[in-house]
Amino acid sequence: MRSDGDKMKAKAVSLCIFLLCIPAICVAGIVFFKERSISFVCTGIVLLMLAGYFYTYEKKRSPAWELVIIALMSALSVLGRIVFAFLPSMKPCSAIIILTAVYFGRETGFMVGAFTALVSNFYFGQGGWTPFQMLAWGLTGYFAGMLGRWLVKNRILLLVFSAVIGVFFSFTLDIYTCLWMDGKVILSRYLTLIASAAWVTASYAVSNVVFTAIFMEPFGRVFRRLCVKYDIGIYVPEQTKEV
Amino acid sequence: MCYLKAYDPLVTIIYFLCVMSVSVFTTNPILQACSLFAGAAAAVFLKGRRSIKLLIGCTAVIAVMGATNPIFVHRGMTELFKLGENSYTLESLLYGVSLGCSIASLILWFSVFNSIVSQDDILAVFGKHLPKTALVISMILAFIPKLRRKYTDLYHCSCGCGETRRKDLRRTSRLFTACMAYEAERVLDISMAMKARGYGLRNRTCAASRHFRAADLGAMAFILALTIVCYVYLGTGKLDYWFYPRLSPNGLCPVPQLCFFILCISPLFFIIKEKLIWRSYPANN
Repeated sequence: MRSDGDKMKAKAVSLCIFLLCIPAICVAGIVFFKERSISFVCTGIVLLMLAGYFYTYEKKRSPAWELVIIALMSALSVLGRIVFAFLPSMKPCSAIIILTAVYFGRETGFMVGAFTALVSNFYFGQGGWTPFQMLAWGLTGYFAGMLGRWLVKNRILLLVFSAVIGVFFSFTLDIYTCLWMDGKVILSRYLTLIASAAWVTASYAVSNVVFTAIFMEPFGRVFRRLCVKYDIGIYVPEQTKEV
Repeated sequence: MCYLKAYDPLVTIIYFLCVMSVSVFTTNPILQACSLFAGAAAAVFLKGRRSIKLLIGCTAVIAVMGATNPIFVHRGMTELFKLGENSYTLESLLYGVSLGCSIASLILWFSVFNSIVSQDDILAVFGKHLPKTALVISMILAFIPKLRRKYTDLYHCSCGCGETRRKDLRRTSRLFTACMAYEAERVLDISMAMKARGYGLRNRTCAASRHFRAADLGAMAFILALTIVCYVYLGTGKLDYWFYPRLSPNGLCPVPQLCFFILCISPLFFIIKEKLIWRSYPANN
């Protein structure tokens, strides 16, 4: 059985990762890898953040439905990438992640995002971008879950949020592109890359908005029903509260 | 049999990860030679006669990659002979050999990995340290083909209902949502069954009971220290080696190369020691 002591230990370890290891990585990068330091530091920070999050998640006790929902929604967003392949540069992954996070909480959202990136790259090719993608989609879910209370009620806000998060996702992956070019992140080059990838960024934002608008109503209905039927999730419907 | 078997499976898996990752990331010929030699030796010692086929296969991979690379790539300064219009260069040949070496060493190390680490060991490591992640990933990989089948069924159904085979956004998303709604209920029923059977009450247990001892920690520290040295040198670019347009003059850097050699050869040391003890220890009773 996992006790409170375990929980404290998990918290302490994740704090250690965030407060000690990340600065240590920065210092080590600057000392050892003089001109290549930034690529090392960025990759190290991304990996450590993922490791810290996964560690705390592993130590936390979570019910069976949460794992199953995470697995199902990740599998669905991989399927979505396959099924909607006939539309060029339109992917429903972010929309699915956002909607899941809104109804099932931010931790579920983070894990769905991270696993979507990890597993869909089994099909579409793994590479150095996988950790960046995992973090970007994970944070998509995390932010959506954080704002879930407002996003459930206000549809316009949900659409605006999905557009903004598409831009955020693109910018995070541009960091990787910048690193991949020659191992350095220079602000001017990063800005140039963002400018040249504006089309991709716009397509992310548009596809997020389109798919969120399409899936908002049916997914919401299904999730609400599941929440009532199985007594899960963070969504509490009004009717059951009165009864 | 092998010293790696005496340790906790976590140590063994980390050892293989370290060796394979370094041998994948480098193009340095000395590091590649170390990895190839040690992998071949370990395969021979562990598998005996059965390793001959594997070694022949690996040699063939190296030979084919080396011989065919110059046919497609004509870069390089040293021309060996003309092949039609294009030149067959030494640099390109060596680059192919190097590529073949890294593939061959991966094959060798994977076969060694398979003969040392069993299914139960892998399950023990992931079930102990990453139980949820392992469970979720295996569930996702199981769900994807099921969802795909379901989606195809729904698609055929809708065709049977008189719709065309045309793909458009509205129809695909309708089918997709139906697929999701169906599977979500089924899957949550599974989760209820998991709960009813006591999921999450205790961790997974495994057949062999193992404890992480001080010796395991020592071995892990030894492996990680050597690997970190290799990675630091790889990161600083001192081990960079290039083939085009001329073979690079640098690439010799004794400290990390010695470290990697020791890392690769360390299982062999124990294997040979054990064999010698078995052979020559007098049974004086």
